[in-house]
Amino acid sequence: MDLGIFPRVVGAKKFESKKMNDRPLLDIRNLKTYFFLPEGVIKAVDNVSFHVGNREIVGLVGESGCGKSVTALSILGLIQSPPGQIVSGEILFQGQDLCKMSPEQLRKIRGNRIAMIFQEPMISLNPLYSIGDQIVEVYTEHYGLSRQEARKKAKEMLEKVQIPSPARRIYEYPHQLSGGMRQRAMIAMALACKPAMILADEPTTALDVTIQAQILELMVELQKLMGTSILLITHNLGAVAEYAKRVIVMYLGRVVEEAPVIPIFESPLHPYTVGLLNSIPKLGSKAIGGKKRLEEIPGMVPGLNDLPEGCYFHPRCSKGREICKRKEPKLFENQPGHRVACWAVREGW
Amino acid sequence: MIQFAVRRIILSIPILLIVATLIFFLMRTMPGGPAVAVLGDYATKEAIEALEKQMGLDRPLGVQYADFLGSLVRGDLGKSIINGRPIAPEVGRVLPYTLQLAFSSLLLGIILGIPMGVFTALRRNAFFDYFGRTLSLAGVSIPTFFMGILLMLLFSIQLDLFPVMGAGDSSDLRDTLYHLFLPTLTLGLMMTAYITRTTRSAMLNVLQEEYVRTARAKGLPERIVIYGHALRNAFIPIISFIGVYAIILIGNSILVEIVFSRPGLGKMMIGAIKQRDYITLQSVMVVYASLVVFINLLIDLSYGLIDPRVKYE
Ligand SMILES: Nc1ncnc2c1ncn2[C@@H]1O[C@H](COP(=O)(O)OP(=O)(O)OP(=O)(O)O)[C@@H](O)[C@H]1O
Ligand SMILES: [Mg+2]
Repeated sequence: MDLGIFPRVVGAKKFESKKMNDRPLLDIRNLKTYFFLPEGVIKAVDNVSFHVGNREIVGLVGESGCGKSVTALSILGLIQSPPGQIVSGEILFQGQDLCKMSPEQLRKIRGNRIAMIFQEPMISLNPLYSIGDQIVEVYTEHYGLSRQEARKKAKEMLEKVQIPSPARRIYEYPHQLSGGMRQRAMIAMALACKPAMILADEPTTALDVTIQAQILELMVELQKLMGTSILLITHNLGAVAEYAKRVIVMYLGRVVEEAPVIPIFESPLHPYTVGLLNSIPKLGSKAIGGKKRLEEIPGMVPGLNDLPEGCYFHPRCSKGREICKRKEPKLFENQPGHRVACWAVREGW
Repeated sequence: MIQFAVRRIILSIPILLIVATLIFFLMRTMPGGPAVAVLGDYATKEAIEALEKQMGLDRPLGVQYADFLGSLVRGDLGKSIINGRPIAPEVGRVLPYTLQLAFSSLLLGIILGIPMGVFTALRRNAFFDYFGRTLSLAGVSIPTFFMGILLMLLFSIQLDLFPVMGAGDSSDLRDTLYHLFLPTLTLGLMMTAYITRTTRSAMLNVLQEEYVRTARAKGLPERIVIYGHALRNAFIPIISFIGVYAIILIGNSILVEIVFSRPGLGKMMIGAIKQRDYITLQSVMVVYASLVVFINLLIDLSYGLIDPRVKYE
């Protein structure tokens, strides 16, 4: 299937003609996204930096509410404002800072160069539009195709995500499809313009376990075919282990550890990461850290509006010392490519 | 769709039947019965009995009921007690005036109310929003007859732009519209107020939906996100509320017809009440009820047009 024939928006062409291999596709630097609520400021994303390379799958994990979705929405400029706002930082996509773009420039990138797949296809698809029309829109908007041409493309896309009898499905509405089929349609929509980057925000969480694997397989297959990068946000650490090349662990709006996938699963450094990995069952081997039982991380997650001083994890950390309460540990490179924000690791106690 | 429509139309027949039955028995519960109601409290027993015989009220209730329903099915609304003239042709003569008023007001309410609702929702808590909300609160709270009189004072008496009363020459479109303007404005502003409020809250709800975020994530322009994805979904609650408001509208059209001395069902009904013409009253009520049932039918059918999920339920 030749996707290179699509006419492209002028801006996109400019990005592509530049040499891209020497810098990451997406480079987030010191991103701060806050929500200004009457009760106080919620630092949902607080000084987050990471990058995603070309054709790379990067896993973004962390407990519920740690700012994964807000990170993804910040990239697309979809933070609800008010109350939310990107306070500072840079989001470099193919070398251009998305934060500095005009809303119109950013809109032309959304759904075209960077696409997003949401968690619940049932509520993320418009119930009043046929699956076909929802894909057609993407083509008419970004490629300026006629509805007829766009419809043909949409059909090809449905075929590509392995929806049976696409010629008929194209006229069907979200409520007529099963959960798995809906998510396939969502993927078709996201991949329509052959984006360079996909933000997949828990793409399988709402699906049956058997379907989850199929959807992930499909995404990865298409990712290889199209050369797309994926930021895979998920609670499914198994999926991360299987598909991601690197993993970023977030805790309460901050990145606490970042490493290639093997080191993170074999020798996690941050006590939070250790806890996170101990809280999932591991087949055929002992849980990480040599303990057999599944564990949960003790202690309460502090609220984002009354965060402790110093390391946010210290109230729950068994290794915490005096300095953890006072001073925020910065990320430092422990091994090449393995960065961690922890005093205990840094000081070696 | 057609199947849905047919089923829905068939479904409204029993509703009409129930409503007609309710009206029939309601009329029989008047103190002393219909004959006393016609002749007044001081009528002699003989006079009452004579009238009851003449009106067929001496027959068993079941027979009367069957007779009533039978006539309705044939489109016969009975004869006026006062002048003995058949009621159906009279209803046929005044109904268009009421329909004109009701539909033009509803149309005005939709044309003004929906854009205003969308606009206030988008400018949430800004000046225009407060302004629009205050205005629509006023529109909902001011009684129609009062509003009618205010408009009449302003446009007819002060500015001398529009007539104070009547419906004009029905064969002359300009004259008809000329006379329709103020009554329509009166009811239409009330409808605008209701529909603005409903549209605003429906839009605010819909704009929080995930699929609106998806539409934005696809890079669609705001215009399409708002007027395509969001508004189309907001139409579902808006339409169902319009169904409710249409009933309020019909009730208020009676007052407006009186204020502007327009011919219509309302005027006919008030006339029947004054003259204690219970047959006419009963018939007009049946016609009003049918109108409401008909509006609800239209509302349900329009769901089927915009919401693909409806057909399969
Ligand atoms: N529109 C908003 N208004 C106020 N606060 C918000 C808003 N959106 C997100 N937040 C806050 O930002 C924080 C991070 O939320 P986010 O949705 O990114 O979490 P998450 O990591 O994606 O969690 P989950 O795994 O449950 O999806 C939360 O504390 C949330 O309350
Ligand atoms: Mg989330």
